[in-house]
Amino acid sequence: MRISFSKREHDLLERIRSGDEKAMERIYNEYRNEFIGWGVENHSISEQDALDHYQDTITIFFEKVMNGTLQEIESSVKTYLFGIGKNRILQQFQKENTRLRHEEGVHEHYRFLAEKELNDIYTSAIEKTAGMFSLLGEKCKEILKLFYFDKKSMTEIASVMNFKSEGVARTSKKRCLEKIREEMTKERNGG
Amino acid sequence: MEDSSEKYIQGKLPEKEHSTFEGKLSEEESKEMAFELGVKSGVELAVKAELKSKVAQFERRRSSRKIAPWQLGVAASILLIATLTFLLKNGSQGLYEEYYSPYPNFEVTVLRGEDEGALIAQAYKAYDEAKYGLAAEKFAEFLEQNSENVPSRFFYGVTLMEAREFDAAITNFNLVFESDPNDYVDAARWYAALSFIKIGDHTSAISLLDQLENSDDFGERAKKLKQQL
Repeated sequence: MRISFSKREHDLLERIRSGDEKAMERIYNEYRNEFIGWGVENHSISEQDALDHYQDTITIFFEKVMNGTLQEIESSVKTYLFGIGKNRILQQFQKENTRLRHEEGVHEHYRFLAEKELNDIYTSAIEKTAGMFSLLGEKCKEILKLFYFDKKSMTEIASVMNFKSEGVARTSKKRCLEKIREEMTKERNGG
Repeated sequence: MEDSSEKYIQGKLPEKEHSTFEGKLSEEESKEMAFELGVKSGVELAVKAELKSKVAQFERRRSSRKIAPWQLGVAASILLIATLTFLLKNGSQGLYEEYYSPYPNFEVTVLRGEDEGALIAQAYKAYDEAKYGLAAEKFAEFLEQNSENVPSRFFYGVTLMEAREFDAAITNFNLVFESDPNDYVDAARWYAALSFIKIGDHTSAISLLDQLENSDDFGERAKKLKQQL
């Protein structure tokens, strides 16, 4: 039988999706103690390790809800969280590097990046973007997040950001990309 | 083509159409695509880092709320003092909690297989894991030999704020301003302003917030905070 989120949980997920910090904190507090107790008792890990796992697990959960990867699941929020947590504990996931895992996933999907020159451009763009993201300015951050993280279309971005047309949204995104490219060029030229 | 590129980058192009799409790309277009995929991964990692920092903040709020029953009497006295302080300082202490969150680390990522034993790698790793006491120790040790290293100086300042050592934090942020220009000047001004608020020196805080007025990243926050002070 398919069990979907209860209405209360469904509403909470909607609020998380829209970036509501209070809803996120409520979910965080709701399952924290139970998760830690479960980790200590069933997996013989320390309380601190269980807390680390919980924080990683809930971060993954928020990420999946916010980027739309998780829209419906056949269980409750609690079952889903404990499922991710169990995998993390069993695989000692926390000892591996987030970025490395992320890159491996991308390479699997976009095989042409296997070519060295393209892979170098790809890696350098990751470093530059992650490094300067918080300094990009609110407008660029929002456009890039909407396009690359939320996977919104240009028409949707134009509507969310009150641009006159999707053409304007596309041009604005290009300008933001130029800022990153300029920094990459500066770095390559030793400036 | 533009639409297909966007779908391809966002992962919306069906897998079976990938090789046809990739086959049509010129050399220049392939480079552009590699660049944009890198930007995409960078944005995803940055957003994730922000989420992780938010989660660490939830934990800190829990810790600050936790009071054992035997502490209730003490808590009542503290509450009275806190209320008086709050009234005397126009409620501005609450602003610190409202505006403060640790600056996300994009400076050093410790990759698997790299030298995780290096002091600086240990410092940033502890910082990423919100183990700020340990991070502070490692940054302090690193700075003894590398006193000119601006990013470490800045992150050391943030770890001192976490330890509630606001005067020491301000001293370190000052050293970051003195090395202007660098990527951390605005961030250091912002965190120094918050530290000044915490120790009740509003004049210094406002002066720093004024300097942030035209900052892309901190301008809006600085104006809003100044109005609330």
